[in-house]
Amino acid sequence: MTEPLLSIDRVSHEFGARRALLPGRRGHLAVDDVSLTIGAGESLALVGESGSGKTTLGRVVAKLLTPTGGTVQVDGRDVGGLRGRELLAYRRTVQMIFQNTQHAFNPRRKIRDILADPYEIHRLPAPDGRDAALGELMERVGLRASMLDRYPHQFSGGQRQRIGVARALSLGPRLIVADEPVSALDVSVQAQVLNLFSRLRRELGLSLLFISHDLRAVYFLCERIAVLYQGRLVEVAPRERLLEHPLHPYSRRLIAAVPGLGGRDSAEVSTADAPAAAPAAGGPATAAGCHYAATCPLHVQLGRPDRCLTERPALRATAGGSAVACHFAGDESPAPVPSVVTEEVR
Amino acid sequence: MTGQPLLSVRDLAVEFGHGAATSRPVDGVGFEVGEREIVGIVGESGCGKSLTLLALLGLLPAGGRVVNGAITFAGRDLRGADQSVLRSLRGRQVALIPSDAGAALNPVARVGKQLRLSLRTHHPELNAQQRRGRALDALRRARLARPEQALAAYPHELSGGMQQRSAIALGLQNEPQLLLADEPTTALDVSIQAEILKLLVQLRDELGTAIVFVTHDISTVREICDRVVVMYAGQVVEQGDADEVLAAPRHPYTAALLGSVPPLGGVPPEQLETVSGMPPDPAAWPGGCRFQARCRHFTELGEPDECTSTWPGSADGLALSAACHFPLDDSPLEEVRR
Repeated sequence: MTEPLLSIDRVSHEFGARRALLPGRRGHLAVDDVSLTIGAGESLALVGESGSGKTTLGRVVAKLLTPTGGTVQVDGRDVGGLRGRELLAYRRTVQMIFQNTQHAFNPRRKIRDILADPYEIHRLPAPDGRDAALGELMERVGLRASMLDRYPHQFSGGQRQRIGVARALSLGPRLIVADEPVSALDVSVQAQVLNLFSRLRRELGLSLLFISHDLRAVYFLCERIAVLYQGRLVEVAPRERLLEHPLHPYSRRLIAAVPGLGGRDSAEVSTADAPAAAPAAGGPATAAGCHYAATCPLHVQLGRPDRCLTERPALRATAGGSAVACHFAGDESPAPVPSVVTEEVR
Repeated sequence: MTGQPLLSVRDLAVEFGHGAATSRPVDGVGFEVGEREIVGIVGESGCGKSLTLLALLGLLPAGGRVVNGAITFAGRDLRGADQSVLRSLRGRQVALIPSDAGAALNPVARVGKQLRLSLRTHHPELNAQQRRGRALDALRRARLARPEQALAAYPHELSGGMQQRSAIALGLQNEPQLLLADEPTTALDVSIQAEILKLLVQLRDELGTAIVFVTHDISTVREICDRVVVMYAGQVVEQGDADEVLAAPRHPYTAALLGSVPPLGGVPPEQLETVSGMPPDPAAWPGGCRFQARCRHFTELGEPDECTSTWPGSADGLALSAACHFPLDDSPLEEVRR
């Protein structure tokens, strides 16, 4: 196997870790021992509900947060200790796109200045004049060079997200971390931005870490999908595999919840039967055992085995190409959705 | 639908501003909602779907006014009704569930207090204990995991899903005949979204509440709606049985909306279908069909004149099929394509 572009090795991030040293206080373990890799040109999705740690993990990769445990490597080099010039070089390799396009830009600055920032910071005089470079960036994301002198509020949400993409592309990154880039957009505009990502991946050979709770968007863009639950990686699999044979009970629940997948009747396999998962504030109650056991239908079905409560399930590879962190989920269990799910909505 | 519909809206128009600055974001909307029916209103931001809901309740933002049309609810005329009539109706017979429950709940009052306040307004005959009981019941019906705790909680102490359930409890505790839900799930995660959708269907089944469900996400419509109303640029462009419309859309806009939903399963396409361009400006609606400038079929059909000259819908806005001169299944488009 060739060297992956990005490799995340046993990364944890605990908020308030320092405070947690005081007696009686606990930090919040947002990411808990997660390992993943992304190859060059590959696109990996992080999915999970709010509070699953997907944004925190994205920020760790973009080096906006320093993990409290584990390492992030790019091209086989640990990025933890990077300083100065090397850190700048890392920032050219990995760029981030944010969800909220209203807050991602300084409202008092023109797009021209916003997009010129990366060049200033990295002291990169664009080869054939900055204006030409900025114009090209705008066109690359489907906007016009003549819009450079506008302010962020003069654009629609979808257009602003394109500007976010343009800013991320300006330094020629190899990996883009996109944190819920389409969730705030209307479905029709969402499609335009998803198309933009898809086109850029093909044209520029970009790698993508795509963070989303929207399985449809994820399935469209990413070859592999990683499912997070309360900071832990519960399953990672190729997209078709995850959709048709989700192994982890939580992945199954997530897929059953996709609207319009099986029509109205499938609402029965939906989620509400499980008690509303109320993740304890301040992090999971126990480090031992499986986080999902408290709400896990499989755990109940198997007569609540002790192992789920005492031993943390390790991520193990299965024959079908998935890796799952569950003691009992196996290939033999039936899929919750019919295997033919092609374009049910159309 | 048999007999009188519970809610009937005909040719509704809403205007903002005066003189040259007048805009008409809702322009000739018509639809009906029967008893126990769930009707979805779908369209992009700015198509007038939320304003339509607010107009029904007499709750348009400042400067907005209903300039045309008829609104009949349970045999009563709402358009001409004065505020005191509307006030007795709102919250009691017709309730609104807002899209952002976090913002809709009062941040400095406990959830229980907010529920009791609405009960005191509409049921002054209840004593404090009965009010508490009713509030608790409503939270239970909204499937809040720990209703007693929720009663004593401030909104910020609840998760987004629990806030939305509290807002639903607030809407349904007076057992309204009609629930207006304005994008009740867009601020929520997919798994919680599915729970809320399921809850709405259960409420309809248990209490017989009719629901108008407004959303920009056409894939959620299939999940819960009996009928669907598709809006574009202040008008209804298509309506009908939800399953039929979603399976075989007749208006090109409906088809485009469906095409922009990423398919699940199989090999994903390189590009999704999109509608190019932007919706027109409500201050200057174009003549003819308002979708024409963005309509792929308009170009493919050789830019027929009727598309730019005449509005293809019906006079009362109650287009029972598609407001299109060349609706999809009987247009010559297939020949053009061949």
